[in-house]
Amino acid sequence: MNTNAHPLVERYLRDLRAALRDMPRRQRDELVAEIAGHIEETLSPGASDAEVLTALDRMGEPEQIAAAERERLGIDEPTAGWLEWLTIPLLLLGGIVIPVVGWVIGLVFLWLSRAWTVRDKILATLLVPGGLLPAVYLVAAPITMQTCTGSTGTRNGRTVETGMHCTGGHSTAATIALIALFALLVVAPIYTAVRLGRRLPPARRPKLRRRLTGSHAVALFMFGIALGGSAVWYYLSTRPPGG
Amino acid sequence: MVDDLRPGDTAALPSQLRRGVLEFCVLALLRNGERYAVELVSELGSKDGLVTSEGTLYPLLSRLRREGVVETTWRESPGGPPRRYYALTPAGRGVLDVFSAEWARFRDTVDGILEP
Repeated sequence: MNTNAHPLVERYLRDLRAALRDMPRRQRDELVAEIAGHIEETLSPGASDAEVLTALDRMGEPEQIAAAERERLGIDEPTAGWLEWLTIPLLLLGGIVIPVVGWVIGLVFLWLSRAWTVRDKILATLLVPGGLLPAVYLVAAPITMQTCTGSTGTRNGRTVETGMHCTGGHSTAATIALIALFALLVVAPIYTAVRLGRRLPPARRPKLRRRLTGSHAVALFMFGIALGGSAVWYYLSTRPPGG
Repeated sequence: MVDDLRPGDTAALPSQLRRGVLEFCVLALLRNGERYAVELVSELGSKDGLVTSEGTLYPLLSRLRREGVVETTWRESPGGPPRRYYALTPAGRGVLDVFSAEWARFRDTVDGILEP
């Protein structure tokens, strides 16, 4: 692909790539390369914006091209339904509301959905496992592991503490590292959530399939709450007294 | 299919008509020898009312290749990246002949009804 392509062409190819995100990678790469080659060849090097826009108009909307490719490959158009819109808050906050389990349900939804690519899903799984839970945990946990050492000495025949040396938690570098870690643990899951939202296909006309996906998701959600609730109940009932 | 053609749905008419015949137009353009993709797509795109989105022809070309009615060869081009040339296969030529005969019959019949 031309490295110094016109910005409008670059944006068009980016949009095309996004429109084709649910296709197998090989087919997607090949089609984008063909379209890029076509545009590059039909445009003269110093083409004006108007000429570029005309060429892109002739090429057609990325969504149209994606629809043609989907038809060829026999792939249904991906839609964003309840499943997807439940996935995002569950991944972000589910782990806090229902400790860990909520996030796991979000993860199941994420991988059930057809609206995101495998790459989106892997990224959303790894950034960050648990959503915002690790960040909350980091704040809640005693992070200042301050240790005090006292030395004893003998004064007037009695043993007294002569000094108390406290090594104040962390060095400055460690504090900065902790703050950076906290920032990362907050920013990364939010970034992932926003990214997932932006990568969703635009809402389509309501279809039967979408409604089914919705009720499917609600049923799964209820099941998840029941599962999470019983896990919590089990934990509380088996906890040793005073623990 | 959502976009089945119904009487009164005139906006979809050109696209519905095009859909069925476009691939045969591709085959017909290859009748006199191989052409490369950009040339083929640009020519189809410049015909009035045949193609609204040239980009959609690339998936069509891939499909024709998979169906075995066209075959492709990469050739070096002067001062540019290699080009993929499309040519009719014997099967493709057969399909085109059948379509040409059918189309002539169909067109005459429809014309005869539209313009008595």
